[in-house]
Amino acid sequence: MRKRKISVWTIVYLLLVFLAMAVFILPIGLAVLTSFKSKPELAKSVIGLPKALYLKNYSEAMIRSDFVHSLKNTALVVLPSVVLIVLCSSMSGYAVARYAKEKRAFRVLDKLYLASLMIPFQILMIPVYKIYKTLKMLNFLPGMVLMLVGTSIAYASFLYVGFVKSIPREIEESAYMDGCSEFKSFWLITFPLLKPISATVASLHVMWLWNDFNISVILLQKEAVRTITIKQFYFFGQYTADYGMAFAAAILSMIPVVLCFVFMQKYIVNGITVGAVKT
Amino acid sequence: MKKATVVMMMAAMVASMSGTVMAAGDSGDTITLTWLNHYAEAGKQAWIQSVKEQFEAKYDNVILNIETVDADSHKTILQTKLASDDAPAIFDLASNADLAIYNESGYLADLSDFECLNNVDADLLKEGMVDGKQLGIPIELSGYGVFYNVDIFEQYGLEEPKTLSELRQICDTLKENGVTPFATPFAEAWAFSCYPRALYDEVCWHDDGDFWAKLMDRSEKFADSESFKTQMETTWSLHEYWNDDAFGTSWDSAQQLMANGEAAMCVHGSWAVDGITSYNPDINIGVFPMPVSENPEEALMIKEPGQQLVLYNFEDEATKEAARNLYNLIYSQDSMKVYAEEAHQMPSVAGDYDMLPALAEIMNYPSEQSFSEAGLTRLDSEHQDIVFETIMNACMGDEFDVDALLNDLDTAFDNIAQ
Repeated sequence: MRKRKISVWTIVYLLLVFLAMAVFILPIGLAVLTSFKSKPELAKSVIGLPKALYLKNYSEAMIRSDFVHSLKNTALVVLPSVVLIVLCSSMSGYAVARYAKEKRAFRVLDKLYLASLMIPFQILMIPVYKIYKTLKMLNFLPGMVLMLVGTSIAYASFLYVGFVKSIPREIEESAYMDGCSEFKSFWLITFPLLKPISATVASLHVMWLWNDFNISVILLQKEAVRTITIKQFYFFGQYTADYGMAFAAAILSMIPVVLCFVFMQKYIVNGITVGAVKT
Repeated sequence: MKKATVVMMMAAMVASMSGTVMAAGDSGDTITLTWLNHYAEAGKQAWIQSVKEQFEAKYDNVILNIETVDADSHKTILQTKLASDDAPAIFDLASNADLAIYNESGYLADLSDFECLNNVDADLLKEGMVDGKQLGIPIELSGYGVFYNVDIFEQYGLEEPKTLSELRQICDTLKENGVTPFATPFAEAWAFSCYPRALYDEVCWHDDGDFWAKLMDRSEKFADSESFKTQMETTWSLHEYWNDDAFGTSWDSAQQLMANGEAAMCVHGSWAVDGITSYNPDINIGVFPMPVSENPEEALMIKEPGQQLVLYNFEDEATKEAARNLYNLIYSQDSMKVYAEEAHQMPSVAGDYDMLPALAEIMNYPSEQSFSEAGLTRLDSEHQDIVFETIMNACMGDEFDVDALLNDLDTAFDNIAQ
């Protein structure tokens, strides 16, 4: 049996890969380590291994952040938002991709989407707060869903536009010839073909919306409706910080997002690259 | 599988539409008071909850709505609410200068006839006065000085220094024994600021209450102030006793150095006691005023009024009355006992509290050896940031040019004045 030769370059390449892996894993590893240390242990060494797993950080973090309730609030905000973002932006992305050449309104819409990406939320903060107060939608989870969808549609549509352009029009035209309406052809023919980009949009927005802080802190100020990111800031006082508990809460809240990313990562990469190349 | 996912998503949408809480408003005779605060620490939260429970039990027509935000977002949220006609009833401001700014916009109510004022330290109340009106009431006192590890001092037979040369001797002894004299959290500008201010406040500001006011209106210059120059030179002269990589050391790292006994002293604010103790509950922390010269009498414990609670300027008398009752409860000895013992703070109301020893020492420090900054004109935030950042930049290099520092400060102040 012939032995396969391993070249020096292969070893160097592997070493570099492992080094890069270590660089990325180290912060997460430190976060996990910190979450299992008591404050006195943390004072002795930040990078040292804990003598015993200090699980009180987790139990205390869950109590102080009202974890189950704030997790439920986050889920109630994020899941509907992502569904609406996918539905609305796939339609708007399709319309812009198909009609921008012929109709000025869609070209303008395309530019508006791009322009809106440049506006930081801090500028919108006071007007949004005033509108929500007038509509009595402060501390109201559907109001939060509306805001998240509104601020996400531009970028999501931008991703869809690139992808829709890569789908041949002939497929839709053959559906029209068979008597399909445009609306029906979108849902029955085109939308299923948008699966990779829909998965990308969904998974990216699950991550972003799950971690949203700026909008939540303004619109959700009552304890009963607070999301998990807001609750995590309770571990940071003006002059003190409880890193053990903060990391414990962060790790618990990361689990759903990490699972989402693990299951969807092939779609994320695929969707982004296809959309990017064909735009 | 696909159907199950769709059903799950739709269920979440429906749940978010129905199972939520609407913004609470006043219904009937019920009054809602919103208290916006940034007291996220567990001890302070315990205090706020105890106030809420006692208040709502006593006044069943009032709901006390607590809104706690993180310290970094507090100002943004407060200003957003004020600009959107959704002002909280009670919120806190840091200084007299802040009170003046918010008062100009007509946001603050006059608390001069509130009964609770009788309970509060009269000296601290000066900080809440603007144009003869009591607009804010401090809830706490902060102290600035040198916090030290008592056990390390005892181990090497050291005593609290009164003069700069005594302080230097102590630093040399500690260094010889492998102990870092000062934990220096200079990676953070606010933490750095505690160090030079302990020096120049004790001399320059103590000797002339209008010291900062004159510099801000440019009637005096940094370059002409010999005392400020001397204190800046003293600031730098102690740099050999700072911990390694002082400008890469965060406040948390400095607390850990103290908690582990790697560093023996830290020039800081009184919150250091709670912070360091949380890392090492067995540590024995003492405090002394920062020596500033060879004259022991010039070493003064700096006392500064802390956060002040203010009331939004409601026209509705019933709301103001409810707020008056709340203030009476907050500034009662019972409430302040919880604040002192659970939150480990120095309350503005005197009483028999079981406090951390170093905090009790600051609170009871003799007035002739203390410098109270209450009611004096302090730097506004724009000038303050410039002072701290300019001194910090000057201390970062290997060499220190005090004249260049003073010129830089004058140039920056001139630019603002123009």
